[in-house]
Amino acid sequence: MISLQHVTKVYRNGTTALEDVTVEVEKGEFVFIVGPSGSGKSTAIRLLLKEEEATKGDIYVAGKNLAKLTSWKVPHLRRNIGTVVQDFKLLQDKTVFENVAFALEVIGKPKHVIDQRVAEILELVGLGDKINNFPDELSGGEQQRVSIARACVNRPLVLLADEPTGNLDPSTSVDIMRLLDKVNRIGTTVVMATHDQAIVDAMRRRVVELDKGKVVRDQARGVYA
Amino acid sequence: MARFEYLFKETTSGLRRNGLVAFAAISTTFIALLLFGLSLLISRQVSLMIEATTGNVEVAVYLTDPVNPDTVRSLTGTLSELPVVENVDFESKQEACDRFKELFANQPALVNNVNCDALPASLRVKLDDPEQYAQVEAVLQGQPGIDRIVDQSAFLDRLFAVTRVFRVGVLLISFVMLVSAAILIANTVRMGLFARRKEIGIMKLVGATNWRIRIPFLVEGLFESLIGAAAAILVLFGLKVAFINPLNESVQFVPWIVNSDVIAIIPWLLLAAVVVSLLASLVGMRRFLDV
Repeated sequence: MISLQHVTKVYRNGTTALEDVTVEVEKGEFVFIVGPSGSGKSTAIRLLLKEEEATKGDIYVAGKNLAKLTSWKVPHLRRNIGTVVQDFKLLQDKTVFENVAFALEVIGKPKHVIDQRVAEILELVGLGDKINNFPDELSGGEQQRVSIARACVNRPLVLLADEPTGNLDPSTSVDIMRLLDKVNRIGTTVVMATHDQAIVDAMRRRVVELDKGKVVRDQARGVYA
Repeated sequence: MARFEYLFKETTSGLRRNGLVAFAAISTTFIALLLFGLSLLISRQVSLMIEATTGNVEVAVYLTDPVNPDTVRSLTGTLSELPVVENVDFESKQEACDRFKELFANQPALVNNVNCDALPASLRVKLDDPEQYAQVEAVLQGQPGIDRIVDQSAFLDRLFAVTRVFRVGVLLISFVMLVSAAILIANTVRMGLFARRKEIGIMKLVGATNWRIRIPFLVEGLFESLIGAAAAILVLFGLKVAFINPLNESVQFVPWIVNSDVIAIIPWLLLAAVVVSLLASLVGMRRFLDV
């Protein structure tokens, strides 16, 4: 599903963010990318979304070579990838329902599809009773659920989560992890960058550890350190 | 249908959000297109007047009645041999009459009262070099069948000189105004993009195409410039009714522009509005929309 082959990323200011990284992720896997700040976790995620391009090496996502993907096809790549970030990125002037529907509206889905899928996914993330609330009326955990719903409403093949629990307290974080696990069990490949040790240790999933841009460990059913 | 609703919602909310700048953009477009339209109408009016007074030729050779076909042939031959003459056309009394009627079609009183027999037949001479009128006069001097030779080139030159200054001036101002309008439209688009940068970030993340993101802004710019254009067209009609219609009554010997002349410039105004707003919007959003 995702394949990085000898990927190096050097930013224009000379910083080497990733160096000769090779990782394969199979369909349906759940992978943690761990490592200290600046180890290259976020860069890896940006590369998968083609927000940045690799300096060297090949990246394949859902069978597509990103280097050969023309810029007008990038949106179609992103429709196959759901993205969740630390600060939720919700629109404050839209309700929960509208925030999730927005993701389908802007890719031109018809209204009856939108209504049905948004209701379904909000039920799945456990917010069926809050569809008409605004983001500032929700707790941090609930807001993150909305953003997961938005990432998943178009049924992506891959869910990329960059520090999804970074702003949440431990017990809320566990709830969010349960939700991501649920999303993974319905067939979505999940890649989660984090430095939340407790969570990684509790989940016992595959762990890819980065340090200074290099893969220093790739372990099935691993722990944080 | 969902798409149309989405577009409409985005456009109107964009206009509401930066109403004042949108108003500035609309009114500048209006003034620019009004001046542009004025300069087009002035050109039309001038060419009508030139057509009426000179028939668009430099030299008119009026022939005495009755016209002898042999005279026409020999005079045409003589003139055509002159190197400075570009071409020679014979206009019969009937043709002169038809041209007159067409020119003053919107002044029936004038057309009904004209006695076609009073309009002389003429040879209409176009010169390569209008300065060489003397040669034409010399060749025709003393030939039979000629009533009068009229050199219109000096008059045409003066008329062109005066109207050129006027037209170029108005055109220049309208150009400057169009550029200002473009800058203002680019500015509204840019403010809109800035106000919605978070939304745009999300749109990109969930895979909205660039055009999906751009089109509401393009439509917003287009909407502003088309409102300006519509206002300009209405005011041009108003000006025509307020100033030209009374002249039509009082100054009867000049052909005045008619409604269809105003209608004829509408496509040009709309085209200018569309081009200006599209260019402005694209420039305004250029830096904001890299993938």
